Amino acid sequence: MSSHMFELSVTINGKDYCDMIPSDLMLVDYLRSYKYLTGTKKACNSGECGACTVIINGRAVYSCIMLAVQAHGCRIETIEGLSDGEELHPIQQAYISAGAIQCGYCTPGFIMSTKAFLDNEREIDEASIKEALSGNICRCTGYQQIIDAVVLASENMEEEK
Amino acid sequence: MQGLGSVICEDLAINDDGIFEANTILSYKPLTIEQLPEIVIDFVETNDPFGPYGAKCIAEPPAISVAAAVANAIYDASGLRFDQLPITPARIQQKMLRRNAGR
Repeated sequence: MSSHMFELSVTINGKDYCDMIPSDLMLVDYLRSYKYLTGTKKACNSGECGACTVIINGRAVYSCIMLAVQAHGCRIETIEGLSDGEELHPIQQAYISAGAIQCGYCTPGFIMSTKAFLDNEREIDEASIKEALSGNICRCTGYQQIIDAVVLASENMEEEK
Repeated sequence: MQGLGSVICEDLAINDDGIFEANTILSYKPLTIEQLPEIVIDFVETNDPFGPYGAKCIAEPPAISVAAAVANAIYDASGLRFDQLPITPARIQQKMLRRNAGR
């Protein structure tokens, strides 16, 4: 009853890793249980809530419905890779400044979705922000502050350029 | 926003066998960011004799009043009264059809 093993090589937050993993392991479990990157949350485990969002090759994906082997050879970014030591990423800082956090469980997913959105999108207005973040659910429903945070982050990142 | 969700779409239905019908987040259906309405915040100063220094709570408890506000708005628009939450489009349609059928 042993599942087939697979040699997985991935780049997580700029570092290369190689692990022997069962081929039926989900990406979120690989990140949390093998790499101890527990900032990526596992909530619904069925691709509904978005708490497990990570960025793979520049695209935001739900890591709970993606097999770890599907990420073979890919570039993965998780919430742990955003800050530079003690210094927060502009998106993280904007979420704090705008008060876009209540219980905080959805926040890593929202921040990763925001990052993928701001990295890829040129048109940043309320409608496009809502569309980009509609795959994430916040039970505290503090959505207004989250939109404020994304606007603030885009302004701050624009200034840095 | 949370109050609005409980009024218009969130339904923790339990069937006769005691089994949850809405056993995933998407079938229970909380509001997502796309349904966010424009929110205007205003304070009403009251004196609550039971609260410390006459204070009244903010944040989650006022979510209850959203149900009454939405139900009254629907009554104003359609003349229909609802005694059950959530007031989904399906339930409104059902009531309208029943009224139009003359009962």
